[in-house]
Amino acid sequence: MLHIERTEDTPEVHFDPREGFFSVVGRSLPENAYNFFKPLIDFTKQYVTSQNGKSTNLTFKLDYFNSSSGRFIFEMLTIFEESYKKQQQVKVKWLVDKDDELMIEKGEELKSLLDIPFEIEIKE
Amino acid sequence: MNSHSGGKADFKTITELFHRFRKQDSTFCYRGAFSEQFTSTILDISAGATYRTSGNVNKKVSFLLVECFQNIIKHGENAELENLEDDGIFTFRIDKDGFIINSINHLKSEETIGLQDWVEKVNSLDSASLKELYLKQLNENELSSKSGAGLGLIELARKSGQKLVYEFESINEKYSRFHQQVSFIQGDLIKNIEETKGLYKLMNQENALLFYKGDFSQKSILPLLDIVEQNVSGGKNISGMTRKVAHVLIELLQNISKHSRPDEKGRKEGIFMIGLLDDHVYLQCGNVLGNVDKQMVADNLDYLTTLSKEELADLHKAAMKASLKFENKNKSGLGLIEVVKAARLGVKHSFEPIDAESFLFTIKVSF
Repeated sequence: MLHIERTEDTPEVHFDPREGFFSVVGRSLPENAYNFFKPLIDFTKQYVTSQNGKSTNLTFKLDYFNSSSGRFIFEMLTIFEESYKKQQQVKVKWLVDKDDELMIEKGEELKSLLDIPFEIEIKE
Repeated sequence: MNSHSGGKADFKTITELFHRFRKQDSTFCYRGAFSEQFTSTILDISAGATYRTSGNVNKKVSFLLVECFQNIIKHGENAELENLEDDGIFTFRIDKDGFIINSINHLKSEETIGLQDWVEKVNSLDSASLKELYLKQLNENELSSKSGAGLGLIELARKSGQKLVYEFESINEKYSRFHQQVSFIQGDLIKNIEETKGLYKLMNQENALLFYKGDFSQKSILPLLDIVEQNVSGGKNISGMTRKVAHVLIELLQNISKHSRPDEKGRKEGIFMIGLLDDHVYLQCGNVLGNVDKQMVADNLDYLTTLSKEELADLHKAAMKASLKFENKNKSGLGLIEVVKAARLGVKHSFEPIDAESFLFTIKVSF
């Protein structure tokens, strides 16, 4: 299990491999995104090697993130995409407020870049 | 897209501010709402502004900042209620000599005489007499609403150890401006009243909300983001538009922190301003670049600003894919694309030579 508390410039991360539940919540604008995301990427890589048919749900609820964080969120999702292509069950839920044009755009972009079930859930 | 290399007029003020405050370590100027919610943010900004330069803001300076700001909140005239152009400005500067807080706020003209008498009395006393007066005020005027200002000024004089510098300026029959300076410096008293008037004029001209010049470390960026978000959203829920502004702000300020050419002290300096022009939010940033970076940024922006919205979206996707292959994990080239993409009303930029090797790069993003 990987749990990281939210800080003023990094999101709360909760990765629970037993339940197949992964969530990232908050805002992500660290100066050095690599340092923050590296453990998340490593954890994800490790997880998919032993996913063994377990259904995996990813939830993102982000206020916003800087461009370098975006790059790593994408990288993390491509790891799950590989796994999905190998017949594993993966679902992404992207939660956004209805007037958050920027995060809706970001969600749509990621969805178009990935071959993976990706649902953008717009909250009223 | 209506984006291009900007005319000189767009960058006149920010360039002037850059040169005017270049010698100072940090300058912060706020012309937004004077309300309690910003007190702690202003403290955070001062802490961020000093953290790489003259050590942490000590307790005395924090006290002076809070006392000054809250004094204005309590006793200044509220722009909205009184139909004034603004609440005034609150500014602080840090340089090798110390810390100086200047403020301009509005008050009813009839109140000026009483206040003037009081400031003069406070300024005429030595530290022992100030303490005496403070204790006397504390006992006597506990219930009077005016006592707050009286006590506040005594405290400013006591904690700063310097005379209060002030001036009254009449605007019309009803209102006047109170110019105040509280200094926490070594050596002779420096008077910044005239300089602050000039700054106020420029801020008014540009309808600027906030201006900051200094080091752009993450510690400075986060409270700036906070104050911008709250002001742009007008205290309401953070809207989609506010998020876009915040996003561009973060990209631009982190860019300064990553790419600016360090000065002789190793600081990565920049300048930043946000305001409203014809009801549109604009952001302006400037930093010093060397020749090579200048060329790279110029080529990049010249290209990006010719692209349509769809082309920018395609380019961003391609850059996302490409970035997965990059060796340098912290360089993705995505930042500028995102800035241009989010700018609803375009991006302009300019370069002004500073010396043979460096340029002041300024960029203006409008929403």
